[in-house]
Amino acid sequence: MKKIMITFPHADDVTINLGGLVRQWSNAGHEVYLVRITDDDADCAGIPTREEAIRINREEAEQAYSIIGAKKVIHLGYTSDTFGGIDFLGLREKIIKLLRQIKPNTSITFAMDGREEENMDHRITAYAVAEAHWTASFDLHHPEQFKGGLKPFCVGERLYFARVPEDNYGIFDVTDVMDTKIKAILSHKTVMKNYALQLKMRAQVLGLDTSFFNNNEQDVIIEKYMRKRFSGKDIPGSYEAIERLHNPSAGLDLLKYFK
Amino acid sequence: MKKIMVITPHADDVTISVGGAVIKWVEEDHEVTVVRVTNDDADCIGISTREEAVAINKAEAEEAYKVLGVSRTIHMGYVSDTFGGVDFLELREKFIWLIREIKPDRTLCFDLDGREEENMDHRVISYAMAEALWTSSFDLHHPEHFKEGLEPFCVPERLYYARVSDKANIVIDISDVIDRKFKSIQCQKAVMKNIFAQIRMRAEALGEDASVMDKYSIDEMVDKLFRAAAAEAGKKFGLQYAELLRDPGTGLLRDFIKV
Repeated sequence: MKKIMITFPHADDVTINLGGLVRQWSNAGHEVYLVRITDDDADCAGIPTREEAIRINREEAEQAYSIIGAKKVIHLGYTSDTFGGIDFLGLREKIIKLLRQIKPNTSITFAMDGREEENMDHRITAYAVAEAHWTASFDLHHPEQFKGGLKPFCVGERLYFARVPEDNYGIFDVTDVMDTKIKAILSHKTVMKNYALQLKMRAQVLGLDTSFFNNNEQDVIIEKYMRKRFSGKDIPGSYEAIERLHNPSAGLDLLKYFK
Repeated sequence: MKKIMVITPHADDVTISVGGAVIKWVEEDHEVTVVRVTNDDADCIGISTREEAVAINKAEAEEAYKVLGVSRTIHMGYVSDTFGGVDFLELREKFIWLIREIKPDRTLCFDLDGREEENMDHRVISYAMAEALWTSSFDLHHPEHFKEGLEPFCVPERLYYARVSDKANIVIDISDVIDRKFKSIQCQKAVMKNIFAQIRMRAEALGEDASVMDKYSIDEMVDKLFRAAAAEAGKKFGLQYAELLRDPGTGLLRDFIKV
């Protein structure tokens, strides 16, 4: 049994990018800890207050994470879409503490070098987690945490996902759990409403035919989009549904020079 | 004789990544100034206070740079592992001042396009330095420097080193100076002790038996690890040992002048 910690800024990041793998890992008996950094207070459309958006998005996130089989969910409650101006070291400190508490065998977050990444929350999360991976093992970094019984901890396996996966990212067949993943994604009703709206708005501005959006329910639009986005039909293996992860330490033999 | 300015975020970045190149340049009668940005106050293990770590790492860095033949060392004294929250413009201003004061023919810094870079000190320092390379030539950027007798200055040759050197286009044969490079790295005992503790912790976290490291001293591990790294770098170029750098060139400048 492995402990896997996934750190992501927004409620739907994990469900969309790794929902299938989380379900598979959970089915295999691994414990998956989800660290949701923001409260998604702006990720909605038509909800009049941020407070209401926070409450609804949290409830829907917990429902989605229950479907993919997460063992525990930690909500850090940062304001969404503000990471370009965040207290970086404050965020890193929180992640260091979580690493020392959870002691995961594997830690996963957004890729530091992700291409076409328009979202600073994603970038800064990637940087903070990547730096926490090794600073968590320094005995002079946040020694105040040791008073509570925590100890320096070093993450062995560090994996990354991205909006645009590179060719060297691993390909994982999630066909057997794709229906479950879709169900989980659709649980994020509020975020998905905003997601579909964004797609429609952009299509309109581009002068494209938007009848698809007008003629279908939200769930149908999202399901079609996600099945298309995670189709593996055009790559080796020709899987119906895939997810991609980068493992820069794959085959890493740290001790080879001493053997 | 060229004036060469090498930026090293941490004490050992220069010795590990480009120590051989520095030795070669000094042998060619070039004058090398090392700018050590942080004080490495956390880069140690088993040292009880940051003050002690600062003093030890500074003394060991100076010893190491003496072995390389460095003419001058500038210790900027920034707190280590905090650059995710650093005052970027202040850091850039300090680099601009140093560039105007040293007037280097060549600079060498971490690559701003470096992949798999988990260290924000490396990233942010490379961004600040890269921006200082050209802003130092603007007469409206920090004109207060000019009251001290400094002038706008533009760095002609801008080289980079990286954790993952896949974009390198300069190969430096360091076969004849490899032992001096190791001697220099071996001076940095506190930092090296931490590096090997990190390797041990991560290997153990990956489920490997790290006891193979027990039979070696720190000096022996330095030799084994960095000899292997230099050999790997040299292998595809038919060299026994090498270091790799990237020169982005001058773009259209040379051709434009010819026209």
